[in-house]
Amino acid sequence: MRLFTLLFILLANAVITMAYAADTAQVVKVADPFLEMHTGPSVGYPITNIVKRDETISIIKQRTSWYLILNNKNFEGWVHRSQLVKTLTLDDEAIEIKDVTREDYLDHNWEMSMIGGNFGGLPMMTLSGSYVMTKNLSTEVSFTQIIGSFSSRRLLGVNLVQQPFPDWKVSPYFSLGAGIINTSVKSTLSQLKDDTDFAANVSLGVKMYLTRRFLLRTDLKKYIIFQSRDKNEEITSWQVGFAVFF
Amino acid sequence: MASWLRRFLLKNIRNVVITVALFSSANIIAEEQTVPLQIQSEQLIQPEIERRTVELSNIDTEDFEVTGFAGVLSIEDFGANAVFGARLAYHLNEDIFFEGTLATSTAGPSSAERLGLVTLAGDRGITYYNISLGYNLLPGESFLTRNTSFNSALYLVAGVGNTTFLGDDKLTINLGGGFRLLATDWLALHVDVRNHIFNIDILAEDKTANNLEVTFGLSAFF
Repeated sequence: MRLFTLLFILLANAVITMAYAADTAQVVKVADPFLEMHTGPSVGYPITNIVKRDETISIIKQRTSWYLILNNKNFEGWVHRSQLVKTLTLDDEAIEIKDVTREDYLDHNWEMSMIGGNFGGLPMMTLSGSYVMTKNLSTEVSFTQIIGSFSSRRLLGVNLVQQPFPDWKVSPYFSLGAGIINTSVKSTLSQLKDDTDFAANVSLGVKMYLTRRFLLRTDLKKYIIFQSRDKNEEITSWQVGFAVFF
Repeated sequence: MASWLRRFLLKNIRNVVITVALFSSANIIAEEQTVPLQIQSEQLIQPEIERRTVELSNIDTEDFEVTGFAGVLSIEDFGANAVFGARLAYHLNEDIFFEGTLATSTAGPSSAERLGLVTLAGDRGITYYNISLGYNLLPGESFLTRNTSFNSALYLVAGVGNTTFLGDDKLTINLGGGFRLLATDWLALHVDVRNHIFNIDILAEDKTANNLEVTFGLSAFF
């Protein structure tokens, strides 16, 4: 019980520290005719105050396309980016408050994708994270689950992904990977036993920038499973899904 | 400090302060007089405060939300049991979010087992994970009293995942919705109702089970 209390305090502390991380508020001057301050980060929340041109505000934080601001009467509210496009520094220099764009995509480091599809006739799901090493080359760690009616398989793999034309709107990629695959047979079929084997794969895929931090991703993979039995197993899969980049 | 000196200082504190102030200002005047005329004129123009820059990249972005939740999961024919789990959501825009969930529960005895018709082998623990797409509906304010209101929203969720049930993996579709009440800008309370749909073939015939879950959660945006 004491351990739980301690853990709870540590967790609460971490959350509070995260929420009140170093003072990052930025002070700017409003250049648009006026700003509408909503009570929450969505058009659905009521407008309770406005800020007029030339007043100064501090931008406290951002959630999606909304900014939490503090006006000079110490009143907090959420303002949409579209009303902050023309903003000035206190020295009257224009600054641009931009959304995440395709330029940010071309310059990103981390990517996380959730894709699903078909693995030789069975449904499959993959969660993967990748680190972009150079503009063209990235490494990826992926976890795949294939769920059949007689067995279920889990595959943990590492892939090397080569993207020859990263700045194309629809950009193809190739990847080579290796991993371990665990096959677990349904408990109702106890005559077969579970297996863990090595697997290799080669794939061809396409990534397409959609909006903000989102990509559409699809790939076609050929797996070779080096089975402990005498014959290797070859399976083709396809998957479609989304990726988020940071 | 010697006691006589302390007494002297306390008695004559005003005089001491004035004397010290006079001495130091005299020093400052003396120093200023030694500054060449050219530099003095530069200083007359300079007193502008340094440039006030704005670093937009320093603004704290809070698009992620982590939730801890607890509730009841009812597995068709296997009773209702406590469920505990965690979610991580990424808010794409004000309407759409993606979330991953991981949770654990247990399966109770089925009616067939209770009647002694079958004995089921396998782990009674249930673990499920899923990746879902969420859509925020009806954002607005909820009034607790006449003067106290909180931001809130209803949301719909649908996704796919896996449920490990009695030792087997089941492809699972989840559908549901929830209510989010923002206690502060970054802390929210959730009530969720979801249906986890998967096939149970444990009693010979394959049947689709609708497994309802009701949970309460606490989340933090970061």
